[in-house]
Amino acid sequence: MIVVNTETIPGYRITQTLGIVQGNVVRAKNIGRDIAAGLKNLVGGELRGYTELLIEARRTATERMLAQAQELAADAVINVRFATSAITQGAAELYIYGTAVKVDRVNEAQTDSAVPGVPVPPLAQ
Amino acid sequence: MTGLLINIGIPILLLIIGLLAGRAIARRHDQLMNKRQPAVDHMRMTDVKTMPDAQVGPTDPMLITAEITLSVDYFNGFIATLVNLVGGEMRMFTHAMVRARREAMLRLLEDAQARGYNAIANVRIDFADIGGNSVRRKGTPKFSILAYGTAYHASAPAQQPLISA
Repeated sequence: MIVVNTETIPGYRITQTLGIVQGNVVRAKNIGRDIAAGLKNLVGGELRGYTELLIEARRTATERMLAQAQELAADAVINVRFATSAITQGAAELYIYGTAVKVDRVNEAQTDSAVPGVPVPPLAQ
Repeated sequence: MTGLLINIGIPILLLIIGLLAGRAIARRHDQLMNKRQPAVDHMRMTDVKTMPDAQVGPTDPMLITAEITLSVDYFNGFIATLVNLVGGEMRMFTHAMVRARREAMLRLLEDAQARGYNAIANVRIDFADIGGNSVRRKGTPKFSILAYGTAYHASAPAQQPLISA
């Protein structure tokens, strides 16, 4: 599965759009990490526990999105976006979404951004 | 008398530790990033949606991500509460954000390089508030950055470093 956050994939032509696929996860920090981070807060610097929390959340959300894409028999997910929302204090949501597409391999790097099935609206006068 | 000493002494001690250790850690972080920078200077990094000079490479383009959570020290957190009273720029937070973003971008570049790519397009740098910590009133704020982009193969290397120190 090719996953990119651009609208095109060099070397591939998008033949069919299958729709939006998404994955999310709401994670809470645990108390051990909080205590460790509280100590680290005194002197500043990177809080590795929180960085790891972010990495795990991103992995889980991405896996969920890819599972959806696989269900649609997609070859690639394009235009992927991440979004976070603070739901309550101590918990936050990480949300990832993109467009599942079918692609064909081409020899030349493709640079146009025409996605089939999405008509380009005419420019307003 | 002893109670007074503890009540005032401990916060002052924490401020001094924060000031000295915090400054040393921040400086070492900057030095470390300066040292890592030349290795990725040839990489091409843009935030445009098309991929400049893209070519069909040995591997497919892929989404790469970089995360970092950073905090300022106790001393700077304390100064920030003072600045909050009178207003003005919170310089220590400005610098912390700059450092966090630079670290995230360096990690993106190093990840892409380790996977054999020489360019990243459509880079997005988000403030991620996982844990809901950065908005809470008590304690020093934490700066979580989630950066992502698409690594691909470009035909020409970048002509000059794209991130300035």
